[in-house]
Amino acid sequence: MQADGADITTIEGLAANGRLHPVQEGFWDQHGLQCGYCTPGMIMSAVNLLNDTPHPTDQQIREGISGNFCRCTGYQHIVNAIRQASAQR
Amino acid sequence: MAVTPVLPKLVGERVRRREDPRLIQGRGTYVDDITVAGMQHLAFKRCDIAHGRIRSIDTAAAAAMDGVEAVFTGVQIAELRAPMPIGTPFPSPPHRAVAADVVRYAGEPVAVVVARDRYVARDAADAIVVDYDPLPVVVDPEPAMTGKPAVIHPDFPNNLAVPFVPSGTGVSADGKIVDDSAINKAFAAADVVISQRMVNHRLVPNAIEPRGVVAHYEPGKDAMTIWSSTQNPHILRTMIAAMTGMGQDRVRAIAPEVGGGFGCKINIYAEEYARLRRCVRRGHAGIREAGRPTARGARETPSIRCAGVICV
Repeated sequence: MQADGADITTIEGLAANGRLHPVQEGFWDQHGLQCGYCTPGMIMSAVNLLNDTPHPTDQQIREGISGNFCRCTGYQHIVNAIRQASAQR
Repeated sequence: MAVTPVLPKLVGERVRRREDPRLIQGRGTYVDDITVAGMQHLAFKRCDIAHGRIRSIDTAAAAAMDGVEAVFTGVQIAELRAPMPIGTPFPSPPHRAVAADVVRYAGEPVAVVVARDRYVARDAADAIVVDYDPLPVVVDPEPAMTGKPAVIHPDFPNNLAVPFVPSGTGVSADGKIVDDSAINKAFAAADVVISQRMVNHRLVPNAIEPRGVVAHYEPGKDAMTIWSSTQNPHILRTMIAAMTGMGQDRVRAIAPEVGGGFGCKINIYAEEYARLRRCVRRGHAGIREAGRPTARGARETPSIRCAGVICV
């Protein structure tokens, strides 16, 4: 298994001690979702991006989430949400 | 003395959505999250041509697969239930949940598999072999309105269901304008007449979440609960009642979280009807598993082939 010995975090485990992760807060504040179907993938991709690159450019944000499709937001609000989370780091 | 309640100021304020906390924490409930004990899964064999006559369907290999409960062709479904009601005041050709003789669009269901899980159901649907006699395909709306190159439904020789004509303009049964004197008079009296040919592209909504349905029939109560990824649960309830002959008080339609719709989840679909056919016991001995609790399907198929296509 490629993930043998690795830690795996899913969207259900992201909030800690009753506090939302800054990326979750960003999505809520910035209308980073409508139907929510792509949101777990978007948020986890963004968390991974910010762990590697705490202050990404917009281009890096767009590349960072490029493994996910969203058909509701047009992506700009997702970029705004990740920007907000990045600004807190 | 009456007390006037103080309402929070909303206009001009940032208001965070109430549904977001569950959606950003993986706690939403979409159709795929719903499970009912004993649930069976449906998968549809779909035609891969746009127009043709079904010559034969071989379901033997699918029916013999381990975990397959039943396979139904459109002919078998048609023996059990009348065509679907359409629910509009417009003239409409008969629509069957599963095509019985002629397929009229790519992706139309031609057979349905009932199986213990979705993987078996999908594999079995893929094992069904259908032989078609291809018929001419209609792709251009203008020749289509003269019945060329093919008439799709025999009762509509010019492929027209609803001719939109100005008030006071006579129209024949086949959609031809026979009296345009009123509109000509109006144009003649107008200060300005603009002629413009308008061409709009074809619009295909394509939500990330495919359509999906779970239906739960409780024979003891003669009650149906249906969870559908729909934009239109109230109409779905009404239509299900009409389709099954059940009272509306016997039917509950639930729209859980819906993963996008953009209009394609407003319609009532054949798969919802087929699912009901499976689930509702009406004394049809031909359905071995009639009365089994639930069935679900259509998730694995790209919705572009099985959802509404809106032409504007």
